[in-house]
Amino acid sequence: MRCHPLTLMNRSAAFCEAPAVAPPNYLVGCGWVCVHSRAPFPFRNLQAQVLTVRTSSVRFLMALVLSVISANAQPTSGPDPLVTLMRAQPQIVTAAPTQVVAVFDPPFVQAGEEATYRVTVDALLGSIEWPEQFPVADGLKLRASAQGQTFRSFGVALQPWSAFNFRARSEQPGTFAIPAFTVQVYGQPVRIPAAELQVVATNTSGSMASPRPKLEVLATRIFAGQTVGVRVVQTGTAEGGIHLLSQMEINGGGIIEDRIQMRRRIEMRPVDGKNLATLIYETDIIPITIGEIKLAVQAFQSANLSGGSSPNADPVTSPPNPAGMTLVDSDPVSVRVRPLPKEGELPGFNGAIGSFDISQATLATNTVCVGDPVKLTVAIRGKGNLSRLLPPKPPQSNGWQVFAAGSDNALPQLIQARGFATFSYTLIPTSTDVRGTPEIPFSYFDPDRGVYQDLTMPSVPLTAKPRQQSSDTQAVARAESPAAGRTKERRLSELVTTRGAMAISLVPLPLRRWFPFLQIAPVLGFVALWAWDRRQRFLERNPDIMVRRRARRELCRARRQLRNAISHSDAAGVASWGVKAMRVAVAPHFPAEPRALVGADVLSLLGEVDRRGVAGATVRRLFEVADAARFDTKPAALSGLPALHADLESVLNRLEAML
Amino acid sequence: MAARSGAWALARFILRTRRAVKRTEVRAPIQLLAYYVRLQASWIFTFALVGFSLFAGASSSSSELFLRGSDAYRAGNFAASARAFRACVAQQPGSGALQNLGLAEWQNGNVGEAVLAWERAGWLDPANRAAKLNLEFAREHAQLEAPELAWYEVPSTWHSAEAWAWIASVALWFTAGIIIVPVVLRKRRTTWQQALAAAGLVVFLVSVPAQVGVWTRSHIGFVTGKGVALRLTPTLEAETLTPLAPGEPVRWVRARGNYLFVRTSRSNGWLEKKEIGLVCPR
Repeated sequence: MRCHPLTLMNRSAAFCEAPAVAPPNYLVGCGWVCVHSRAPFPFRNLQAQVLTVRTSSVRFLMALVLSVISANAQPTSGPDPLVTLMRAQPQIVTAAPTQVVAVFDPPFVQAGEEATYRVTVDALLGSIEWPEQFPVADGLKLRASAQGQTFRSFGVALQPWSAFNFRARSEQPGTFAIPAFTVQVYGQPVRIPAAELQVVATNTSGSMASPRPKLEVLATRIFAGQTVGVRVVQTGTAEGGIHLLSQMEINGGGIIEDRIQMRRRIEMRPVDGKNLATLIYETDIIPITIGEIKLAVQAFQSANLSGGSSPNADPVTSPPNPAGMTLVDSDPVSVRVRPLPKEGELPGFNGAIGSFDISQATLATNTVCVGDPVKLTVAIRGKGNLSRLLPPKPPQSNGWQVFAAGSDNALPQLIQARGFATFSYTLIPTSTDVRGTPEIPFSYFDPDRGVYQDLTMPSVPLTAKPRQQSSDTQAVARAESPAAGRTKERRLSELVTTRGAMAISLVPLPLRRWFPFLQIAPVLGFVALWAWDRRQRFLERNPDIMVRRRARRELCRARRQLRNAISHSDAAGVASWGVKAMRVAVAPHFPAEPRALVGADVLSLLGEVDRRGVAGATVRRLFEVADAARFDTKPAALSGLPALHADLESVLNRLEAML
Repeated sequence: MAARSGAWALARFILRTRRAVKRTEVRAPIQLLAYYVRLQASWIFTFALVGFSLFAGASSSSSELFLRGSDAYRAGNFAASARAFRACVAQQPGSGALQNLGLAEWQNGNVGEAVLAWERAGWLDPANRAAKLNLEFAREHAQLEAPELAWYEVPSTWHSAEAWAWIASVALWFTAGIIIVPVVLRKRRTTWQQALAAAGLVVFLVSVPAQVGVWTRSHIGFVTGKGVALRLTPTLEAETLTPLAPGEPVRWVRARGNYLFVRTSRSNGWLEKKEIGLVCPR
């Protein structure tokens, strides 16, 4: 027999990844089996297990580390209490199933009535893999309705029992059989025996089915998030017997079952004219989806409570269940869940649904110093999800620093039993101007009336005194802050009438694209300065460049004046500007001032041919006229000078070319 | 109005200049050059006038929006006031317009938008004391934290970001000029030149942390939406780490798709871009 730990499966599963080799024989049968590998695995011998899969070079280090860890983690005085607790748990039998039962309950039904096709296997529920489809007789409709798992004592271990319920229904009378088929249990094929259902046209012998629980929803108008009471009714037999229900579950998508609210009682109820003992379970559910949802209850039905006949007692109607418990389920009940209305939602609504009232709001003290905390306790009483009520969020208020309250720390059963929940807020006055605690907005939704109700926690009168300080502290405070002692009242400013400092963009300058390029400008400036300085030094080394450049500029100016004189037929001007232009043009060739040059100097620069030709004559003529106008007392003969314009231009062009 | 009259005067000037140039019989090259220069000058003047007209038009529209927002605020129509101030700020950010925008948003109950507007007003004009007082009031009233500034971010709040940029640039190139110009001109450095260079260098070095502070402060943002949750992952159905109140400061670290990875004083996580507003919008 292989055993399985009932608890701490995750912890054992985590350890299961290490051993890849078969465990030593002395470890087998010690009682601890890994969930996944199903190999015995002792927690005590973890060190030895790990060492088996390490290389020899690592073994020593691992042993050293584990020794240190174990030495530090576990005191040497006794075993680990957690391990002790695990070892104290009963073991679960996970051997191959030996008892498999498949029956129809009841085996005879009237056409159109439902019977339960129940398969029971002595194995864990999660280990059973059903085939995609199993054979069903034509005309018989099957619908899965419930599945569950229970345990039965098997010596010191627990034997699991899993049951699957299907609702079978046929509209036509006849005999319908579900032949034997195979399911996988613990990875091994297990044969499910055949079962037969007889459908008769008229059932005269009454129902022979096991008593089934009935589900009643105790509210008709249901909203999402509302705590709704449900009642499970198990009617006893006419003989006075009654069957207990265990492991009861409310099935249905989109609900949360609040099991802490479960209550159980037995009362007498009239059924078909007889008062029968009826077992009643009451619990709460919270729908969390909107729309139509179907609810049903399933539970394991145990033996007769008061000695009456058991539903499994008749070997014809239902073969004996080895576990002594039968999985039963109720007919589904449809409920419609509405969404909470958006209209009319009040401030402070935080999901409270029901009918509530504030019974009291008390302060720890009515006089408090500024800066000292004071506790405000509010009790909310009413009907609804009291145990899951969240404290309303405190508002932001001038003169108060409010810390949110936590949920009521009492046990939910206690909260529900006493009928109220308390929330404690911690408030700190920051000003002496406060006259009471701030109002805390709170509202709830009343599902009966379908409206939100305001339940704002009222203000509680309170006196805030300035904090008492010693004389030394006050002196220090005054020295540090001249404004100390008077409350600084802050308020919003008025509208400004000007647009204030403006910018093109809020993006900082260095992050704008053009700004880095702007930084190139100084660099370019420095480069230009360097180039200018270099040019200046070059010109200093070559002064003739500047002299010739200056001569060209002067020549250009003189030629312009010469053209003006020619256009105005000013012979004296022609002579004067012509001579000046020639002197300026030849001056760079001589280390002399232009005014000191004479015609011979000009002629010396002309070629031999030109000197004797027209050019030489033009130069001589102009210098004669100029010298006569300058030194002679008689007026010079100026006739014909403008006619020399073309020759003079030719001479000047030649001289300019030599610059 | 000013833009229309400016455009009309500009059109008349262009036509008159072109006619004069066409009528003139230009013969001398120097005259041609002179006329060319005058023509170019007219174009330059034209562009300058167009630019000025557009600027004046924009400025006029922005002023009108500012006045409209102020009037709506005084009339108690805070939503219209916020819209007008927002449009005014969108045209040209101004410290006063941002301050008024914050007031209008605060009256509308948009704490996050109000805090963001006042922070931007302080970003543009650190001397805007009213914006600072409004921020203190809002943070005390809404129990919000102010962004924690690093040591190098504190001096960056003394001047505006633009001022710090110009200070750093001018100080850097002034120092460089003082050092480089005598070298280029092959002149001996004098004592006063060296003193000026040292002073410029000190100013530049002082401005460097402030520049870094400006850059890091430009990553500060504020939660503007209500019911904003810090997410563990940049996905719509991510796990919520912590809810963030409107106006809470965050620091943008990096972006991924439509989400920003932000750092708050409590934890790090992802926010949608639309849920926060950066002081310096990117």
